[in-house]
Amino acid sequence: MTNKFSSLISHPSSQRTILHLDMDSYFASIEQRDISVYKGKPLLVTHGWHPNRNLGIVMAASYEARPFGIKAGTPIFQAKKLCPKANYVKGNFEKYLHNTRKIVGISRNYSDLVEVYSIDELFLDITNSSHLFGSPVNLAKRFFDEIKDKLGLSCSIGIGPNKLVAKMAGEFNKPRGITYISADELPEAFAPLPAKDLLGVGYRMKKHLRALGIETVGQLQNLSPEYLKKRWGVMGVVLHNASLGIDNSPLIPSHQGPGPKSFGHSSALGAKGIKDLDVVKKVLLGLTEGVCRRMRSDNYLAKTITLRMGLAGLMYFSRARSLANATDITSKIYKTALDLMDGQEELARQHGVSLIAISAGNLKKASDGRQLDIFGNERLSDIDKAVDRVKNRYGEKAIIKASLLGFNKRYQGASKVEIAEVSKGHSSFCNRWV
Amino acid sequence: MKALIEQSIFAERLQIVQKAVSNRTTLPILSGIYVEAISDNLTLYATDLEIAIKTSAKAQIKKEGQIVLPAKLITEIVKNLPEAKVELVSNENENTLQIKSQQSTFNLNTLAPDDYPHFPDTEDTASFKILKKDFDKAVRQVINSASKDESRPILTGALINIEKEKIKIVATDSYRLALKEISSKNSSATQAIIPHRALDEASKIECKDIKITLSPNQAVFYLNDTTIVSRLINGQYPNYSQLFPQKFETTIVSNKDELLSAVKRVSILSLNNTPLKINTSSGKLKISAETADYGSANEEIMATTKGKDIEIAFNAKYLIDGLLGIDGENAVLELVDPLQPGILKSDEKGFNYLLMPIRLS
Repeated sequence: MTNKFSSLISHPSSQRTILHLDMDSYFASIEQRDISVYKGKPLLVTHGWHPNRNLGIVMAASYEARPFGIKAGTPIFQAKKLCPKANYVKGNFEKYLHNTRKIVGISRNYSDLVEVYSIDELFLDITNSSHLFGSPVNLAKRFFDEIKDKLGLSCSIGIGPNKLVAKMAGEFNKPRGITYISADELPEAFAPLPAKDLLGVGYRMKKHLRALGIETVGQLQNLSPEYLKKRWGVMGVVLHNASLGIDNSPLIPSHQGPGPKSFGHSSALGAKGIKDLDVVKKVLLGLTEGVCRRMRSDNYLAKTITLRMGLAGLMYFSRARSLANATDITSKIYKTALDLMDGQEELARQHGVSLIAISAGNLKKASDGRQLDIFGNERLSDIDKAVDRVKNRYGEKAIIKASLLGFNKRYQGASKVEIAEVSKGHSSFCNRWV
Repeated sequence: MKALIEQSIFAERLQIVQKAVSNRTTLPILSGIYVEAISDNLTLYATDLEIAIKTSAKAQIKKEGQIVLPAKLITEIVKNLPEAKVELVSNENENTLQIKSQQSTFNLNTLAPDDYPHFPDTEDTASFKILKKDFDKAVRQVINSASKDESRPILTGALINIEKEKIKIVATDSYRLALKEISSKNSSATQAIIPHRALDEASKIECKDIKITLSPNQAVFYLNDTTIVSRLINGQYPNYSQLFPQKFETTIVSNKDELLSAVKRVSILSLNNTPLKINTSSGKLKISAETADYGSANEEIMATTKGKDIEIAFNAKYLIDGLLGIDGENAVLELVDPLQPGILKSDEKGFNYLLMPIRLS
């Protein structure tokens, strides 16, 4: 049995040495490595690429595309204006995950305390292993070279006395950089940095700080913690600690490979949004099918369903509901998602839905048992499994819900929603750890 | 309006109607309590349009009248007044009420009584009367099984089924089903689905007998000086009678208190709804639970087992809820196989608790 409390091994108390690894332009680098024509050219990885399609955002931009002002999160229509010659490629998440698994495998040569932070970021506690390599920096060099040699990918590495400093250090020298900030160099090392680059300072905090005339972390360091706490509460304390490079958060190692936290799919429906809710509901059904199918194939059940909706030009909101018992049954999860949409329909009809996303969280392993239902939900579960088997054997389009039949063609012109594509999308990949 | 009432009585009555005050403020007037002084009675009434509670108490009425008081404030004020007579004097022109008790004086702004919805008309189509303690016990036994999930409204209520010889009360959340039968001679047969909240509130009020009347849209509970009116949940309650298995392969009889304490102890390690396993072999009953990352628990208790040995898993909370409903000395658990519903009952007749297992892979 795994022991939850072993993470305490790497808990603060004494001096720690933490390494943060961030892959450089991860998805784009993998594509450039695999397809040589993209090498040295601006390449944008998107969620489902169609030549005439302007929907969605750029998920990753190669370093060659960055001088044009394109970065992850730039809308595609804008990217097209900024760099008409850019190449586009549709993200292949299975491939990226495969690479991440390999990186995690390599990382275990350097520490047994590895936290998989996202698909392209790791934290390693190297307190007890760095002396084997001479110094933390030597360890980082070996780690960097091994990833370069074995996977042909480059990364940026930051080392510090805690997770916050390690992550910040990694930002100093990107791409292909190794930066070490020791506890002795703090807080002076942070002082010249722009305050906006401090971890935890978002768009709004940046504005607040600017209003106070604070541009650098050094200026922030000089503000009294009492003042910051009075002004921003808990966030003020976090900010004060961050400015001094203080962070006590433990590294949470993932012993036998971490499990996913949630499964989610989303679809952007265009800046103007779709006002026909029947169409939106069908897209939602497609997304739900995709989420549930992935949960079933990975043997998970979800207890909390979250629906996120964007209303064109108005706002984004998300609502969640927890079920009495965890499930992977498509119809049950879809019904919950529809219930969550209830009450927002008038607004959605008025403004149009520009984004719809569903995510299933609060997961438990299906092998921990499945609560049976008096009124025979078992049959629904059997139907889902039968459909999965048909799809596994004959492909995704071999069997689809009658309500989605012809949907693809009918709405292709109007909204460019492609159900098959939608249900295979993995837009909340970050939630899905390796 | 001018009235004089004992603080303790007034506070108690306010507490009763408070339960029907709306938490949502879509209709501001519903955040108030309607107070009416007529002849020698002070009547309080509140509703959130789902449930309405009216209660009255003897008081010295010097001038009759009606007002609506902000519920939270009046309850809080009266609760904190000294134990003595409380004088209520309203000023209709200024829409205020003066509350006086010994040295304290409060002046409270009131709401317009004409805006308050009328107390629902109560018409009897079918009514029955039972001992309040029987009613309370039945509610306690079934109410936990009602669903909290609003996505299937029908299951958030309890079915009351009145037959010639008995009354059946049923609640289910589709994972377990509690069925209580009370012997009672009734003149007519009918049934209704009552929101669990109304049953819960009715069971909290003390009195000797309770009279319940059912009409097509509402249920009315008469409890001495208090009347509760609840809307009914429309729709067809699922047919539950066919769900009970007729033949069993395994029967386990054990002391209810021992079983309940053992299940409670072991369930500490059934976190995140991980299954609680029940195992019988050669006359022994083993209960166990394990949560990855945390640990495991095992306990063996004395039990009489008949029939085949079995390993079956349940949600610990559902099992505990069922056991809490059992009043007799012994708990009887009847099982068919690990995938069929189990039946939990006591050696006293009248309560059956159907429990769906967890399928282990």
